[in-house]
Amino acid sequence: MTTTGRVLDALLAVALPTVALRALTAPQPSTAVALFIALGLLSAVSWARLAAPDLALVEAALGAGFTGALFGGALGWRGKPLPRVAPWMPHPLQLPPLVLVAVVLGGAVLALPESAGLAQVVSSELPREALTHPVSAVLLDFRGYDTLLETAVLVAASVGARRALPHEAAARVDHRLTSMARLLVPASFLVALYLLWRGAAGPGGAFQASAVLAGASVLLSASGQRSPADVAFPRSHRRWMVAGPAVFTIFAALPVLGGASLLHYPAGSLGWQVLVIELGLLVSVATLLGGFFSLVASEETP
Amino acid sequence: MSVRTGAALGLLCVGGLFFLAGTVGLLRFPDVHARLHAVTKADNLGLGFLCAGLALDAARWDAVLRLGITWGLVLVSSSLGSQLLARVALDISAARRGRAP
Repeated sequence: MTTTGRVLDALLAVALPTVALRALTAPQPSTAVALFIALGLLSAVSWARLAAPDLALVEAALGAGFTGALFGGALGWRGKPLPRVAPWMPHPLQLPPLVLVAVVLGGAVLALPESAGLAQVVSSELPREALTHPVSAVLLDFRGYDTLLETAVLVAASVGARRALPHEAAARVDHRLTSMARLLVPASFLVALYLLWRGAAGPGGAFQASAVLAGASVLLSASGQRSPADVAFPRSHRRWMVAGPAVFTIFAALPVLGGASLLHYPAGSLGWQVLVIELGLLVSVATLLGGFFSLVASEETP
Repeated sequence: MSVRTGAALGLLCVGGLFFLAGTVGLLRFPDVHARLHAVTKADNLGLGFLCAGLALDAARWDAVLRLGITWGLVLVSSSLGSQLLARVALDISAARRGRAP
């Protein structure tokens, strides 16, 4: 490890807990949200330092960007003054158990036996598949069942959110955000499709791409450019949301009809099957993430 | 060290200085609007120098293109974002003044 790498890691090791603590003890919710976004970006940098670019992309796009937008929308960053909240301070009696748990966990992690992990097993299985990127291969091929169920969980969460929150209200049209959207939304589509395509051979994939599209959807919602039809007929959102799990289930179930096991990709067809599945996931996750923001950020504008 | 790498390092250092200036402005300026000036202008210029330095040292030409596009996107989003933040700050201070007797 180079010296600059060590310095960067030391800075991150100091900055991450500091920012987290400041975010927890911030007097105003808006300060806490801004610090939370900064924490997400620092986490993305630390994932990149750990040589996990896929995780870094997801952390930056979803953890920092989209979740920050959700919090901001929920707080109503549209001009209303925000209430002051009492900052979180730990009770003196809470500290010893916390420190004890941290010490025990740290000791357990450090005492783990040296292992090469599953990287070698994965890379030895890779050459016979069309997906050359190990993360994408694990997500969509080796552990495809988990991804299928995760998407179904996301759809269930979206249904629950729609039940719990009031209906989406249309924001008033904001011309600055509209001009920003005119530039950034087409660019987001390009970047999302690029990430989707690259996911087979490098860092990227359906979830990162859908995070970018969710950002575009947030921008569209905030600029008030959604048509009244979207507000009056929210069922259209539901239709697109189930595209991902539906497509995935179809592709998972088809081999069963031919006598093979669930999620068995016939040799040679892995490439295009995965592409279609990822497109379905892209549409599905982007739609429901955008739906989350519209639900959370709906309030009467002043 | 070749001339190109030296020039890239120089540009990176200049970018770092601009970021430092922006951070000092963020900490020391009295007002939200002044702080927005410092953060938007100085930090974006610092990012431009950073991208220029990295582009000089890049291995392939499309990395240069991607760095340029990144800087352009950051310019667009940060300038529009600072406008929006300034508007929100104005509304908040107007509301506070409206409430105070």
